[in-house]
Amino acid sequence: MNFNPPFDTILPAVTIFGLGKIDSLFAKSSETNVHLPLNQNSDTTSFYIQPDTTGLADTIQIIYTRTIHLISPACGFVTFYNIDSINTTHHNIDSIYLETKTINNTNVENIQLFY
Amino acid sequence: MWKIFNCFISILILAIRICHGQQDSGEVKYGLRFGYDISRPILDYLQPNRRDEEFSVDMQVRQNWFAIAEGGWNNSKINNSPKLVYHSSGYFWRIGFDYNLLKHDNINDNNLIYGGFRLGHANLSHSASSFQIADIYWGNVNGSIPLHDVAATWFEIAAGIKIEALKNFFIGWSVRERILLNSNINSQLTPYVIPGFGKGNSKSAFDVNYSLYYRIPFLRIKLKTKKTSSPIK
Repeated sequence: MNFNPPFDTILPAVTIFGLGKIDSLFAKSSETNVHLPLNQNSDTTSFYIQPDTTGLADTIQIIYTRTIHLISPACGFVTFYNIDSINTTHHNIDSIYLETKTINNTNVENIQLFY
Repeated sequence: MWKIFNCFISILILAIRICHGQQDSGEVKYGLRFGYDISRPILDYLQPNRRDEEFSVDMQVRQNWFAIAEGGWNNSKINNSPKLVYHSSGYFWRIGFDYNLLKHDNINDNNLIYGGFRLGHANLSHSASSFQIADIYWGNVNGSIPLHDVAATWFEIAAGIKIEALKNFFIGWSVRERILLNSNINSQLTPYVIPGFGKGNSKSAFDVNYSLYYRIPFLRIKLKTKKTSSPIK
């Protein structure tokens, strides 16, 4: 039985962009964790993730609900999210794990990807 | 600023002591004392987003006890376009009692050092007629929150002084600490100001008032014995 405990992997040349967008969020950069912006005009956001220049790309889909909060008159509103579900293709990604459902102004890890 | 203020108050107290050094007439006057808070326009000048007015009326009901009612309104306007265009308007009332701690050796001495409590309630309606959340990747979010009503109830403790500067004309200040008991503020849009309470994003508020009062003495009670602090027992 082969059992490897999970460990943080560096994706050596990761390319990420939001599905439907031409501009990439990350282009062939070396990352262990990434901050991805959810679409504030929609309840679903999908990202294209290619771990390195040769590997097959995966698509992850995040489905969520949005609420707006007034921070202050100067700062205006921000959007808080509550993730309902996450889906992924399995070309390179083994599994996806939703760690924290709520996204607000605290900096926490929300989603883990296993390769 | 505070030094000038303290000095001003001290001079007032001194002036009153001199005035009341004369023999009293043995007649005590009671009546409604109407007040206007002159600190509100000054604070509004420092915070141009808001406009506040506050009035009070009080009357002695027992020895050293004063029943007091306060009320007023607030209007707030924030034009931070395109981020936020906000408007709110509302009114409030507070009712409570003050207890005088100053010992009087002259029946015509109406100066007060008091501690008291209030129960306050405010109603306001507010709206964000337009707002924008900047998003350089997916595109900006534009929206609006329609006009809706908010109610809030709070408890407050007060301490202050009232000095009779001229006959029936009083000057006084007070400090307040307020604790929000109940409100139906929705998490999307917290009020900028809860009228009579303070900032809408906080559960407690500290405030300072500086008021001018005029007492209308419609009740005159003749006293046979002098040197009693109050005929109302």
